[in-house]
Amino acid sequence: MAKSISSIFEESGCLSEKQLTDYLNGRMNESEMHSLEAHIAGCDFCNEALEGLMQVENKEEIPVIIKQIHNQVRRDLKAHRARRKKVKMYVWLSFLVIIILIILLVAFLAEYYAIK
Amino acid sequence: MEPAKSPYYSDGELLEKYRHEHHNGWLGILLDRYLHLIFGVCLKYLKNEEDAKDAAQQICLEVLKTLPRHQVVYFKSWLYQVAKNHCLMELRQSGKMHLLPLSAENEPESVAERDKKTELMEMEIKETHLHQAMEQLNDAQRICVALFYLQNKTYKSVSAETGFSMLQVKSYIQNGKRNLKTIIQRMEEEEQYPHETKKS
Repeated sequence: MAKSISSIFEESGCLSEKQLTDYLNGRMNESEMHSLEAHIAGCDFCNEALEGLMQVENKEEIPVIIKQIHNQVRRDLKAHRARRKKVKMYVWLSFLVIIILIILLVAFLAEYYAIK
Repeated sequence: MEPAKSPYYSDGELLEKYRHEHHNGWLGILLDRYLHLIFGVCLKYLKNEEDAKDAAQQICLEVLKTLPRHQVVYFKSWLYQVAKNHCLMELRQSGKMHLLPLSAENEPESVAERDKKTELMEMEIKETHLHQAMEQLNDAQRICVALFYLQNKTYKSVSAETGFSMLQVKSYIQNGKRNLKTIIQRMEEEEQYPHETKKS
């Protein structure tokens, strides 16, 4: 059935990994293919991603590749968190050392002037 | 609440939570949402699976470092620009790309410009404007846009019917849609300020 012409400018959410792999592996019916193509006609991000994913030789492997990147990013995130925690700890430690030094200095000066 | 056990949040809500709680887990959910698109964009530009994997990973770290310094409103558009710029920078550094002169066509569209356009397109579009605008498209764009949007055909069917290649069909539809937006915006401006537009 013909749609209203205004549907040209309808917006839809970005494509999921499953939608993209289903499209690339020919697992979509005509109506699903049309919806996906209508989205990429207006979304540069999805359009360029689809162009890139088309270059993967074995399209069935795309989810595996994404999972690998996901795991690596998680490891990076964890390391980043650990680094931040360490930096925070060093900041507190330095702060504590400075406070102790100030207390010692004040005590020393108090003692010095008391003797004088 | 722990990010991993959270219900579905919009990009904006996740950004807000990340800014409020400073927990990278929220950003992790956001990046997960677009990881396949980041990898796809990297592969498009770098043309090598291993390079694209590394680049996608680096982009995620770059986002992690730079996001706190930026007031990002539309995460998706911002992320796309970060990913694209990262790839272009890599290509430049490896000498695989010559610098393109900045022109309206190859200059990255800023988020503000995009918002302005979306805002304009969100206004009620008169069907008469669209029909008039369609008349101003070239034949190839008009035929492809009409078959695709009005008859719900897929790229494959449009390609079979018109004899254009799939890539040509894709490009005619995308450019046709973009041109329609521009023509309609011009028509609306002319209607709003008829004298100024004529003078200029």
